[in-house]
Amino acid sequence: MTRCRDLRGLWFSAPAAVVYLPLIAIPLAYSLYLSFHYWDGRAPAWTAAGIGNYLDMAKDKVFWRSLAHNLVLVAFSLAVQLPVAMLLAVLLERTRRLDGLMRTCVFLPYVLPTVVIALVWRSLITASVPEWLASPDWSLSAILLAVTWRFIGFHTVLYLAGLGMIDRQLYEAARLDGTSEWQCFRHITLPLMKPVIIVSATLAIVGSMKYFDIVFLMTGGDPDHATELLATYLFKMGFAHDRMGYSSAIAVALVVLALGSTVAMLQLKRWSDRRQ
Amino acid sequence: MKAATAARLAILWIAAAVGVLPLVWTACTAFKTDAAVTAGIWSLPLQPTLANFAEVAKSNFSTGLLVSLAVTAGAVLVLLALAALAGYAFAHFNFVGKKCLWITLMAGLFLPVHATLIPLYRIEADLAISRSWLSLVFLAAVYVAFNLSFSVFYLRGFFAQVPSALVEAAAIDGCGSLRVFTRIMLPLSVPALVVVALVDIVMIWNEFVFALVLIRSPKLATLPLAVRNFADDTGLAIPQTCAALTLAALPVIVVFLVAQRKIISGLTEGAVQG
Repeated sequence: MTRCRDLRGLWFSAPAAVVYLPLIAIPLAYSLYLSFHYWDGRAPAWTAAGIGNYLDMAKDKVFWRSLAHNLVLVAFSLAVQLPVAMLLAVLLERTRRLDGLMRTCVFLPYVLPTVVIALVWRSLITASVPEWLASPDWSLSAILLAVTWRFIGFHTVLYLAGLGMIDRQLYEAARLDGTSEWQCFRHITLPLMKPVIIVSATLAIVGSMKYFDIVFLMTGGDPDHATELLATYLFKMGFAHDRMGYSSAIAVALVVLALGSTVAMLQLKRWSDRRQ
Repeated sequence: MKAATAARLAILWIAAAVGVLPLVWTACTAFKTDAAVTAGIWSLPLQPTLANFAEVAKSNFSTGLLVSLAVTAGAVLVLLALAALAGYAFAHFNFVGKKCLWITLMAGLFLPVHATLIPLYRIEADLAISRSWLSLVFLAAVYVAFNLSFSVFYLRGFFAQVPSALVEAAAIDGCGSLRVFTRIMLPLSVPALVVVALVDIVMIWNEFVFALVLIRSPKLATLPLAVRNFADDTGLAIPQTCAALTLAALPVIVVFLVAQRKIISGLTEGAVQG
Protein backbone atom coordinates (compact mmCIF):
# COMPACT_ATOMS: atom_id res chain seq x y z
CA MET A 1 0.00 0.00 0.00
CA THR A 2 2.77 2.47 0.89
CA ARG A 3 4.61 1.66 -2.29
CA CYS A 4 1.47 2.33 -4.24
CA ARG A 5 1.12 5.68 -2.49
CA ASP A 6 4.70 6.54 -3.31
CA LEU A 7 3.96 6.14 -6.99
CA ARG A 8 0.78 8.21 -6.90
CA GLY A 9 2.61 11.12 -5.30
CA LEU A 10 5.40 10.89 -7.83
CA TRP A 11 3.02 10.83 -10.78
CA PHE A 12 1.08 13.82 -9.54
CA SER A 13 4.13 15.95 -8.82
CA ALA A 14 6.19 14.81 -11.82
CA PRO A 15 4.75 17.25 -14.41
CA ALA A 16 5.61 20.25 -12.22
CA ALA A 17 9.09 18.88 -11.50
CA VAL A 18 9.71 18.21 -15.18
CA VAL A 19 9.10 21.88 -16.02
CA TYR A 20 10.63 23.39 -12.90
CA LEU A 21 13.93 21.54 -12.60
CA PRO A 22 15.29 22.00 -16.16
CA LEU A 23 14.30 25.66 -16.32
CA ILE A 24 15.47 26.68 -12.84
CA ALA A 25 17.78 24.16 -11.20
CA ILE A 26 19.87 23.44 -14.31
CA PRO A 27 20.40 27.13 -15.20
CA LEU A 28 21.49 27.77 -11.61
CA ALA A 29 24.04 24.96 -11.77
CA TYR A 30 25.15 26.26 -15.16
CA SER A 31 25.69 29.75 -13.70
CA LEU A 32 27.72 28.32 -10.85
CA TYR A 33 29.90 26.34 -13.27
CA LEU A 34 30.30 29.31 -15.63
CA SER A 35 31.38 31.54 -12.74
CA PHE A 36 34.64 29.55 -12.60
CA HIS A 37 35.39 30.31 -16.26
CA TYR A 38 36.09 33.20 -18.61
CA TRP A 39 33.84 33.42 -21.64
CA ASP A 40 32.81 36.24 -23.99
CA GLY A 41 29.57 34.57 -25.05
CA ARG A 42 30.86 33.76 -28.56
CA ALA A 43 34.09 31.77 -28.38
CA PRO A 44 33.47 28.05 -28.82
CA ALA A 45 35.35 27.11 -25.64
CA TRP A 46 35.39 28.49 -22.12
CA THR A 47 38.69 29.26 -20.39
CA ALA A 48 39.13 27.91 -16.89
CA ALA A 49 39.38 30.78 -14.43
CA GLY A 50 39.54 29.08 -11.06
CA ILE A 51 38.35 31.67 -8.58
CA GLY A 52 39.58 34.45 -10.90
CA ASN A 53 36.13 35.98 -11.33
CA TYR A 54 35.56 36.01 -7.59
CA LEU A 55 38.93 37.71 -7.02
CA ASP A 56 37.98 40.31 -9.65
CA MET A 57 34.72 40.81 -7.82
CA ALA A 58 36.45 41.40 -4.49
CA LYS A 59 38.60 44.11 -6.12
CA ASP A 60 35.80 45.69 -8.16
CA LYS A 61 34.71 49.02 -6.64
CA VAL A 62 31.51 49.05 -8.69
CA PHE A 63 30.51 45.66 -7.30
CA TRP A 64 30.81 46.95 -3.74
CA ARG A 65 29.04 50.16 -4.63
CA SER A 66 26.18 48.16 -6.13
CA LEU A 67 25.96 46.01 -3.02
CA ALA A 68 25.93 49.17 -0.90
CA HIS A 69 22.97 50.48 -2.93
CA ASN A 70 21.13 47.20 -2.34
CA LEU A 71 21.78 47.64 1.38
CA VAL A 72 20.46 51.22 1.23
CA LEU A 73 17.30 49.77 -0.31
CA VAL A 74 17.09 47.20 2.50
CA ALA A 75 17.64 49.84 5.18
CA PHE A 76 15.11 52.24 3.66
CA SER A 77 12.47 49.50 3.46
CA LEU A 78 12.97 48.50 7.07
CA ALA A 79 13.33 51.98 8.54
CA VAL A 80 10.79 53.94 6.48
CA GLN A 81 8.61 51.81 4.24
CA LEU A 82 7.49 49.18 6.76
CA PRO A 83 6.80 51.61 9.65
CA VAL A 84 4.74 53.85 7.34
CA ALA A 85 2.89 50.77 6.05
CA MET A 86 2.16 49.81 9.66
CA LEU A 87 0.86 53.31 10.40
CA LEU A 88 -1.42 53.20 7.36
CA ALA A 89 -2.67 49.72 8.30
CA VAL A 90 -3.50 50.77 11.87
CA LEU A 91 -5.30 53.88 10.62
CA LEU A 92 -7.17 52.00 7.90
CA GLU A 93 -8.26 49.34 10.39
CA ARG A 94 -10.25 51.94 12.32
CA THR A 95 -11.81 53.62 9.34
CA ARG A 96 -15.22 52.28 8.56
CA ARG A 97 -16.30 54.49 5.69
CA LEU A 98 -14.27 54.59 2.46
CA ASP A 99 -11.63 52.23 3.82
CA GLY A 100 -12.17 50.00 0.77
CA LEU A 101 -11.53 52.88 -1.63
CA MET A 102 -8.40 53.96 0.21
CA ARG A 103 -7.13 50.40 0.35
CA THR A 104 -7.61 50.12 -3.42
CA CYS A 105 -5.70 53.35 -4.05
CA VAL A 106 -2.80 52.37 -1.80
CA PHE A 107 -2.54 48.83 -3.18
CA LEU A 108 -3.04 49.64 -6.87
CA PRO A 109 0.61 50.46 -7.74
CA TYR A 110 1.68 46.96 -6.67
CA VAL A 111 -0.29 45.23 -9.44
CA LEU A 112 0.90 47.54 -12.24
CA PRO A 113 3.58 46.35 -14.67
CA THR A 114 7.03 47.47 -13.48
CA VAL A 115 7.54 49.06 -16.89
CA VAL A 116 4.57 51.31 -16.22
CA ILE A 117 5.77 52.17 -12.70
CA ALA A 118 9.31 53.00 -13.83
CA LEU A 119 8.25 55.04 -16.85
CA VAL A 120 5.47 56.90 -15.03
CA TRP A 121 8.03 58.11 -12.49
CA ARG A 122 10.70 58.71 -15.11
CA SER A 123 8.28 60.83 -17.13
CA LEU A 124 6.98 62.67 -14.08
CA ILE A 125 10.48 63.41 -12.78
CA THR A 126 11.90 64.32 -16.20
CA ALA A 127 9.04 66.74 -16.73
CA SER A 128 9.15 68.38 -13.31
CA VAL A 129 12.75 68.15 -11.97
CA PRO A 130 14.86 67.19 -15.01
CA GLU A 131 18.19 67.33 -13.16
CA TRP A 132 17.06 64.86 -10.45
CA LEU A 133 17.70 61.59 -12.30
CA ALA A 134 20.99 62.92 -13.70
CA SER A 135 22.37 63.84 -10.30
CA PRO A 136 24.94 61.36 -8.93
CA ASP A 137 23.99 62.38 -5.38
CA TRP A 138 20.22 62.35 -5.67
CA SER A 139 19.24 59.82 -8.34
CA LEU A 140 19.13 56.96 -5.84
CA SER A 141 16.45 58.82 -3.87
CA ALA A 142 14.25 58.84 -6.98
CA ILE A 143 14.62 55.06 -7.12
CA LEU A 144 13.68 54.78 -3.45
CA LEU A 145 10.59 56.88 -4.15
CA ALA A 146 9.41 54.68 -7.02
CA VAL A 147 10.20 51.43 -5.22
CA THR A 148 8.39 52.60 -2.08
CA TRP A 149 5.42 53.70 -4.17
CA ARG A 150 5.24 50.24 -5.63
CA PHE A 151 5.55 48.16 -2.46
CA ILE A 152 4.08 50.16 0.42
CA GLY A 153 0.49 49.12 -0.33
CA PHE A 154 1.50 45.47 -0.36
CA HIS A 155 2.96 45.69 3.13
CA THR A 156 0.00 47.77 4.34
CA VAL A 157 -2.43 45.06 3.25
CA LEU A 158 -0.21 42.37 4.77
CA TYR A 159 -0.38 44.20 8.11
CA LEU A 160 -4.13 44.72 7.74
CA ALA A 161 -4.56 40.97 7.40
CA GLY A 162 -2.47 40.51 10.56
CA LEU A 163 -4.42 43.16 12.49
CA GLY A 164 -7.68 41.46 11.52
CA MET A 165 -6.57 38.33 13.35
CA ILE A 166 -6.05 40.09 16.70
CA ASP A 167 -8.82 39.55 19.26
CA ARG A 168 -10.71 42.86 19.77
CA GLN A 169 -11.44 42.00 23.39
CA LEU A 170 -7.77 42.48 24.24
CA TYR A 171 -8.07 46.17 23.33
CA GLU A 172 -11.36 46.61 25.16
CA ALA A 173 -9.92 45.12 28.33
CA ALA A 174 -6.85 47.34 28.06
CA ARG A 175 -8.97 50.44 27.49
CA LEU A 176 -11.02 49.72 30.63
CA ASP A 177 -7.72 49.75 32.48
CA GLY A 178 -7.05 53.22 31.08
CA THR A 179 -4.22 52.19 28.79
CA SER A 180 -3.27 54.81 26.20
CA GLU A 181 -3.46 54.20 22.46
CA TRP A 182 0.30 54.13 22.13
CA GLN A 183 0.66 51.64 24.97
CA CYS A 184 -2.02 49.43 23.37
CA PHE A 185 -0.06 49.49 20.14
CA ARG A 186 3.26 48.93 21.87
CA HIS A 187 2.18 46.13 24.22
CA ILE A 188 -0.67 44.40 22.37
CA THR A 189 -0.46 45.08 18.64
CA LEU A 190 3.30 44.91 18.08
CA PRO A 191 3.97 41.64 19.96
CA LEU A 192 1.02 39.91 18.31
CA MET A 193 2.04 41.21 14.90
CA LYS A 194 5.59 39.93 15.24
CA PRO A 195 5.14 36.92 12.91
CA VAL A 196 3.59 39.12 10.20
CA ILE A 197 6.29 41.76 10.64
CA ILE A 198 9.00 39.13 10.23
CA VAL A 199 7.35 37.85 7.05
CA SER A 200 7.04 41.34 5.60
CA ALA A 201 10.62 42.19 6.61
CA THR A 202 11.85 38.98 4.96
CA LEU A 203 10.07 39.86 1.73
CA ALA A 204 11.41 43.43 1.89
CA ILE A 205 15.00 42.32 2.55
CA VAL A 206 15.09 39.61 -0.11
CA GLY A 207 13.18 41.82 -2.55
CA SER A 208 15.67 44.66 -2.03
CA MET A 209 18.64 42.35 -2.56
CA LYS A 210 17.38 41.07 -5.91
CA TYR A 211 15.71 44.24 -7.17
CA PHE A 212 16.12 45.01 -10.87
CA ASP A 213 13.19 46.23 -12.96
CA ILE A 214 12.57 49.79 -11.78
CA VAL A 215 16.27 50.70 -11.69
CA PHE A 216 16.94 49.17 -15.09
CA LEU A 217 14.03 51.06 -16.61
CA MET A 218 14.36 54.37 -14.75
CA THR A 219 18.11 55.02 -14.78
CA GLY A 220 19.82 51.89 -16.09
CA GLY A 221 22.15 52.18 -13.09
CA ASP A 222 23.34 55.62 -14.22
CA PRO A 223 24.63 58.25 -13.75
CA ASP A 224 28.05 56.63 -13.43
CA HIS A 225 26.76 53.65 -11.37
CA ALA A 226 25.09 55.98 -8.85
CA THR A 227 21.98 53.77 -8.88
CA GLU A 228 23.62 50.48 -9.85
CA LEU A 229 22.32 47.38 -8.04
CA LEU A 230 23.81 43.89 -8.05
CA ALA A 231 21.18 42.61 -10.48
CA THR A 232 21.56 45.52 -12.95
CA TYR A 233 25.35 45.26 -12.73
CA LEU A 234 25.42 41.53 -13.47
CA PHE A 235 23.02 42.13 -16.34
CA LYS A 236 25.36 44.75 -17.80
CA MET A 237 28.42 42.56 -17.36
CA GLY A 238 26.72 39.65 -19.13
CA PHE A 239 24.69 41.29 -21.87
CA ALA A 240 26.58 44.52 -22.61
CA HIS A 241 30.21 43.76 -21.71
CA ASP A 242 30.26 40.07 -22.74
CA ARG A 243 31.86 39.00 -19.46
CA MET A 244 29.70 35.92 -18.95
CA GLY A 245 31.91 34.32 -16.27
CA TYR A 246 32.13 37.51 -14.22
CA SER A 247 28.41 38.15 -14.57
CA SER A 248 27.76 34.60 -13.32
CA ALA A 249 30.05 35.13 -10.33
CA ILE A 250 27.99 38.19 -9.31
CA ALA A 251 24.85 36.11 -9.89
CA VAL A 252 26.16 33.42 -7.53
CA ALA A 253 26.92 36.07 -4.91
CA LEU A 254 23.39 37.43 -5.35
CA VAL A 255 21.82 33.98 -4.91
CA VAL A 256 23.89 33.36 -1.78
CA LEU A 257 22.86 36.73 -0.35
CA ALA A 258 19.16 36.27 -1.17
CA LEU A 259 18.85 32.69 0.04
CA GLY A 260 21.14 33.40 3.00
CA SER A 261 18.95 36.27 4.22
CA THR A 262 15.84 34.13 3.66
CA VAL A 263 17.20 31.30 5.79
CA ALA A 264 18.36 33.76 8.46
CA MET A 265 14.90 35.36 8.62
CA LEU A 266 13.13 31.99 8.73
CA GLN A 267 15.40 31.04 11.62
CA LEU A 268 14.49 34.30 13.34
CA LYS A 269 10.79 33.52 12.80
CA ARG A 270 11.17 30.01 14.22
CA TRP A 271 12.99 31.42 17.24
CA SER A 272 10.37 34.11 17.84
CA ASP A 273 7.52 31.59 17.41
CA ARG A 274 9.09 29.35 19.99
CA ARG A 275 9.39 32.16 22.52
CA GLN A 276 5.67 32.88 22.39
CA MET B 1 -10.96 62.84 19.75
CA LYS B 2 -12.40 64.78 16.80
CA ALA B 3 -8.94 66.13 15.97
CA ALA B 4 -7.49 62.64 16.05
CA THR B 5 -10.12 61.42 13.60
CA ALA B 6 -9.44 64.33 11.28
CA ALA B 7 -5.69 63.71 11.39
CA ARG B 8 -6.23 60.02 10.71
CA LEU B 9 -8.41 60.71 7.69
CA ALA B 10 -5.99 63.36 6.43
CA ILE B 11 -3.07 60.90 6.50
CA LEU B 12 -5.10 58.25 4.71
CA TRP B 13 -6.34 60.66 2.05
CA ILE B 14 -2.79 61.81 1.40
CA ALA B 15 -1.63 58.18 1.09
CA ALA B 16 -4.47 57.36 -1.30
CA ALA B 17 -3.70 60.48 -3.35
CA VAL B 18 0.00 59.61 -3.56
CA GLY B 19 -1.01 56.17 -4.82
CA VAL B 20 -3.24 57.48 -7.58
CA LEU B 21 -2.02 60.95 -8.60
CA PRO B 22 1.02 59.85 -10.64
CA LEU B 23 -1.36 57.74 -12.71
CA VAL B 24 -3.82 60.61 -13.10
CA TRP B 25 -0.94 62.85 -14.20
CA THR B 26 0.13 60.23 -16.75
CA ALA B 27 -3.39 59.90 -18.16
CA CYS B 28 -3.75 63.70 -18.40
CA THR B 29 -0.36 64.14 -20.06
CA ALA B 30 -1.29 61.49 -22.62
CA PHE B 31 -3.90 63.91 -24.02
CA LYS B 32 -1.54 66.89 -24.29
CA THR B 33 0.68 68.09 -27.12
CA ASP B 34 4.44 68.46 -26.61
CA ALA B 35 3.95 72.23 -26.50
CA ALA B 36 1.25 71.93 -23.83
CA VAL B 37 3.55 69.78 -21.70
CA THR B 38 6.35 72.33 -21.96
CA ALA B 39 3.94 75.17 -21.19
CA GLY B 40 2.76 73.65 -17.93
CA ILE B 41 3.28 70.10 -16.79
CA TRP B 42 0.60 70.24 -14.10
CA SER B 43 -2.12 71.85 -16.23
CA LEU B 44 -5.14 69.85 -17.31
CA PRO B 45 -5.39 68.94 -21.02
CA LEU B 46 -7.83 71.73 -21.90
CA GLN B 47 -7.40 71.12 -25.62
CA PRO B 48 -7.11 67.35 -25.59
CA THR B 49 -5.42 65.65 -28.53
CA LEU B 50 -5.45 62.02 -29.60
CA ALA B 51 -2.24 62.38 -31.60
CA ASN B 52 -0.21 60.57 -28.93
CA PHE B 53 -2.52 57.59 -29.06
CA ALA B 54 -2.25 57.54 -32.85
CA GLU B 55 1.52 57.40 -32.37
CA VAL B 56 1.09 54.42 -30.05
CA ALA B 57 -1.18 52.70 -32.59
CA LYS B 58 1.64 52.96 -35.17
CA SER B 59 4.08 51.15 -32.88
CA ASN B 60 4.15 47.44 -32.04
CA PHE B 61 1.87 48.13 -29.07
CA SER B 62 -1.16 46.31 -30.53
CA THR B 63 0.81 43.20 -31.50
CA GLY B 64 2.35 43.38 -28.03
CA LEU B 65 -1.14 43.27 -26.58
CA LEU B 66 -2.00 40.14 -28.58
CA VAL B 67 1.34 38.46 -27.84
CA SER B 68 0.98 39.13 -24.11
CA LEU B 69 -2.59 37.85 -24.20
CA ALA B 70 -1.52 34.59 -25.88
CA VAL B 71 1.55 34.01 -23.70
CA THR B 72 -0.34 34.80 -20.49
CA ALA B 73 -3.34 32.61 -21.37
CA GLY B 74 -1.20 29.65 -22.42
CA ALA B 75 1.17 29.87 -19.48
CA VAL B 76 -1.59 30.28 -16.89
CA LEU B 77 -3.60 27.30 -18.15
CA VAL B 78 -0.57 24.98 -18.04
CA LEU B 79 0.46 26.46 -14.71
CA LEU B 80 -2.94 25.73 -13.15
CA ALA B 81 -2.88 22.11 -14.32
CA LEU B 82 0.66 21.43 -13.10
CA ALA B 83 0.25 23.31 -9.83
CA ALA B 84 -3.08 21.65 -8.98
CA LEU B 85 -1.62 18.18 -9.51
CA ALA B 86 1.51 18.95 -7.53
CA GLY B 87 -0.35 20.82 -4.78
CA TYR B 88 -2.63 17.79 -4.35
CA ALA B 89 0.37 15.43 -4.27
CA PHE B 90 2.13 17.48 -1.60
CA ALA B 91 -1.04 17.71 0.51
CA HIS B 92 -2.20 14.08 0.40
CA PHE B 93 0.56 11.69 -0.63
CA ASN B 94 3.88 10.61 0.77
CA PHE B 95 6.47 9.86 -1.83
CA VAL B 96 10.18 9.47 -2.37
CA GLY B 97 11.97 12.81 -2.49
CA LYS B 98 8.89 14.75 -1.34
CA LYS B 99 10.70 16.96 1.16
CA CYS B 100 13.61 17.57 -1.20
CA LEU B 101 11.32 18.58 -4.07
CA TRP B 102 9.26 20.79 -1.77
CA ILE B 103 12.31 22.70 -0.53
CA THR B 104 13.58 23.09 -4.10
CA LEU B 105 10.20 24.43 -5.19
CA MET B 106 9.88 26.83 -2.26
CA ALA B 107 13.42 28.16 -2.75
CA GLY B 108 12.02 29.51 -6.03
CA LEU B 109 10.00 32.06 -4.02
CA PHE B 110 13.19 33.78 -2.89
CA LEU B 111 15.50 33.12 -5.80
CA PRO B 112 16.93 36.05 -7.77
CA VAL B 113 15.73 35.17 -11.27
CA HIS B 114 18.64 37.15 -12.73
CA ALA B 115 20.98 34.27 -11.92
CA THR B 116 19.22 32.20 -14.61
CA LEU B 117 19.27 34.77 -17.42
CA ILE B 118 22.55 33.87 -19.16
CA PRO B 119 21.88 30.10 -19.08
CA LEU B 120 18.30 30.52 -20.34
CA TYR B 121 19.54 32.85 -23.06
CA ARG B 122 22.11 30.22 -24.07
CA ILE B 123 19.59 27.37 -24.01
CA GLU B 124 17.32 29.38 -26.28
CA ALA B 125 20.22 30.17 -28.63
CA ASP B 126 21.26 26.50 -28.72
CA LEU B 127 17.71 25.51 -29.61
CA ALA B 128 17.97 28.03 -32.49
CA ILE B 129 14.53 29.47 -31.78
CA SER B 130 15.57 33.02 -30.79
CA ARG B 131 13.89 34.69 -33.74
CA SER B 132 10.92 32.39 -34.33
CA TRP B 133 7.55 32.30 -32.61
CA LEU B 134 8.87 29.30 -30.68
CA SER B 135 10.74 31.78 -28.51
CA LEU B 136 7.31 32.77 -27.17
CA VAL B 137 6.63 29.14 -26.27
CA PHE B 138 9.97 29.04 -24.50
CA LEU B 139 9.14 32.28 -22.69
CA ALA B 140 5.77 30.85 -21.63
CA ALA B 141 7.52 27.70 -20.32
CA VAL B 142 9.87 29.89 -18.28
CA TYR B 143 6.85 31.75 -16.89
CA VAL B 144 5.28 28.44 -15.90
CA ALA B 145 8.46 27.34 -14.13
CA PHE B 146 8.95 30.60 -12.25
CA ASN B 147 5.35 30.87 -11.06
CA LEU B 148 5.08 27.24 -9.95
CA SER B 149 6.51 27.98 -6.50
CA PHE B 150 3.73 30.34 -5.47
CA SER B 151 0.99 28.37 -7.24
CA VAL B 152 1.92 25.00 -5.75
CA PHE B 153 2.36 26.60 -2.35
CA TYR B 154 -1.08 28.18 -2.41
CA LEU B 155 -2.88 25.10 -3.76
CA ARG B 156 -1.13 22.74 -1.37
CA GLY B 157 -2.44 24.95 1.43
CA PHE B 158 -5.93 24.61 0.01
CA PHE B 159 -5.84 20.84 -0.55
CA ALA B 160 -4.41 20.27 2.93
CA GLN B 161 -7.72 21.55 4.32
CA VAL B 162 -9.66 18.87 2.46
CA PRO B 163 -10.01 15.99 4.91
CA SER B 164 -8.01 12.89 3.99
CA ALA B 165 -11.09 10.83 4.88
CA LEU B 166 -12.83 12.23 1.80
CA VAL B 167 -9.92 11.15 -0.39
CA GLU B 168 -9.85 7.67 1.18
CA ALA B 169 -13.63 7.22 0.99
CA ALA B 170 -13.65 8.04 -2.70
CA ALA B 171 -10.76 5.66 -3.24
CA ILE B 172 -12.65 2.86 -1.46
CA ASP B 173 -15.66 3.54 -3.70
CA GLY B 174 -13.43 2.38 -6.50
CA CYS B 175 -12.36 5.73 -7.85
CA GLY B 176 -8.81 5.72 -9.21
CA SER B 177 -6.69 8.50 -7.75
CA LEU B 178 -6.81 10.48 -10.98
CA ARG B 179 -10.61 10.26 -10.93
CA VAL B 180 -10.72 11.30 -7.29
CA PHE B 181 -8.67 14.28 -8.32
CA THR B 182 -10.67 15.34 -11.39
CA ARG B 183 -14.15 14.49 -10.08
CA ILE B 184 -13.86 15.59 -6.46
CA MET B 185 -10.80 17.70 -5.82
CA LEU B 186 -10.81 19.95 -8.85
CA PRO B 187 -14.47 21.03 -8.50
CA LEU B 188 -13.87 21.67 -4.80
CA SER B 189 -10.82 23.78 -5.50
CA VAL B 190 -12.32 26.18 -8.05
CA PRO B 191 -12.21 29.18 -5.66
CA ALA B 192 -8.53 28.54 -4.91
CA LEU B 193 -7.76 28.00 -8.60
CA VAL B 194 -9.38 31.36 -9.40
CA VAL B 195 -7.15 33.14 -6.87
CA VAL B 196 -4.02 31.42 -8.21
CA ALA B 197 -5.01 32.17 -11.80
CA LEU B 198 -5.54 35.87 -11.03
CA VAL B 199 -2.19 36.23 -9.27
CA ASP B 200 -0.39 34.38 -12.06
CA ILE B 201 -2.13 36.48 -14.72
CA VAL B 202 -0.94 39.67 -13.03
CA MET B 203 2.62 38.32 -12.60
CA ILE B 204 3.00 37.04 -16.16
CA TRP B 205 1.25 39.95 -17.85
CA ASN B 206 3.59 42.37 -16.07
CA GLU B 207 6.83 40.40 -16.43
CA PHE B 208 9.71 42.26 -18.01
CA VAL B 209 13.23 40.86 -17.72
CA PHE B 210 12.72 37.35 -19.13
CA ALA B 211 10.91 38.84 -22.11
CA LEU B 212 13.76 41.33 -22.55
CA VAL B 213 16.36 38.56 -22.72
CA LEU B 214 14.43 35.83 -24.53
CA ILE B 215 12.49 37.75 -27.17
CA ARG B 216 14.79 39.02 -29.92
CA SER B 217 12.31 39.88 -32.65
CA PRO B 218 10.39 43.21 -32.37
CA LYS B 219 7.36 41.53 -33.95
CA LEU B 220 7.19 39.11 -31.03
CA ALA B 221 7.59 41.77 -28.33
CA THR B 222 5.32 41.35 -25.32
CA LEU B 223 3.41 44.38 -24.05
CA PRO B 224 6.02 45.46 -21.48
CA LEU B 225 8.72 45.36 -24.20
CA ALA B 226 6.53 47.34 -26.58
CA VAL B 227 5.92 49.95 -23.89
CA ARG B 228 9.60 50.13 -23.05
CA ASN B 229 10.38 51.09 -26.67
CA PHE B 230 8.92 54.50 -25.94
CA ALA B 231 11.77 55.27 -23.59
CA ASP B 232 14.98 54.21 -25.29
CA ASP B 233 18.42 55.35 -24.24
CA THR B 234 18.30 58.52 -26.30
CA GLY B 235 15.52 59.96 -24.20
CA LEU B 236 11.77 59.80 -23.92
CA ALA B 237 8.96 61.62 -25.67
CA ILE B 238 6.84 62.29 -22.62
CA PRO B 239 3.28 62.64 -24.01
CA GLN B 240 3.61 59.63 -26.33
CA THR B 241 5.13 57.54 -23.54
CA CYS B 242 2.28 58.58 -21.26
CA ALA B 243 -0.25 57.48 -23.88
CA ALA B 244 1.40 54.06 -24.09
CA LEU B 245 1.57 53.83 -20.29
CA THR B 246 -2.08 54.76 -19.94
CA LEU B 247 -3.14 52.06 -22.40
CA ALA B 248 -0.84 49.50 -20.81
CA ALA B 249 -2.06 50.23 -17.28
CA LEU B 250 -5.75 50.21 -18.20
CA PRO B 251 -6.36 46.44 -18.57
CA VAL B 252 -4.49 45.72 -15.32
CA ILE B 253 -6.44 48.39 -13.45
CA VAL B 254 -9.76 47.05 -14.79
CA VAL B 255 -8.92 43.46 -13.81
CA PHE B 256 -7.75 44.68 -10.42
CA LEU B 257 -10.91 46.69 -9.76
CA VAL B 258 -13.14 43.78 -10.77
CA ALA B 259 -11.30 41.10 -8.78
CA GLN B 260 -9.35 43.05 -6.18
CA ARG B 261 -10.54 41.09 -3.16
CA LYS B 262 -9.26 37.81 -4.65
CA ILE B 263 -6.06 39.33 -6.04
CA ILE B 264 -5.16 41.01 -2.76
CA SER B 265 -5.90 37.90 -0.73
CA GLY B 266 -3.89 35.72 -3.12
CA LEU B 267 -0.91 38.06 -3.03
CA THR B 268 -0.89 38.56 0.72
CA GLU B 269 -2.48 35.51 2.39
CA GLY B 270 0.13 33.16 1.03
CA ALA B 271 2.77 35.37 2.59
CA VAL B 272 1.07 35.54 5.99
CA GLN B 273 0.53 31.79 6.23
CA GLY B 274 4.10 31.06 5.19
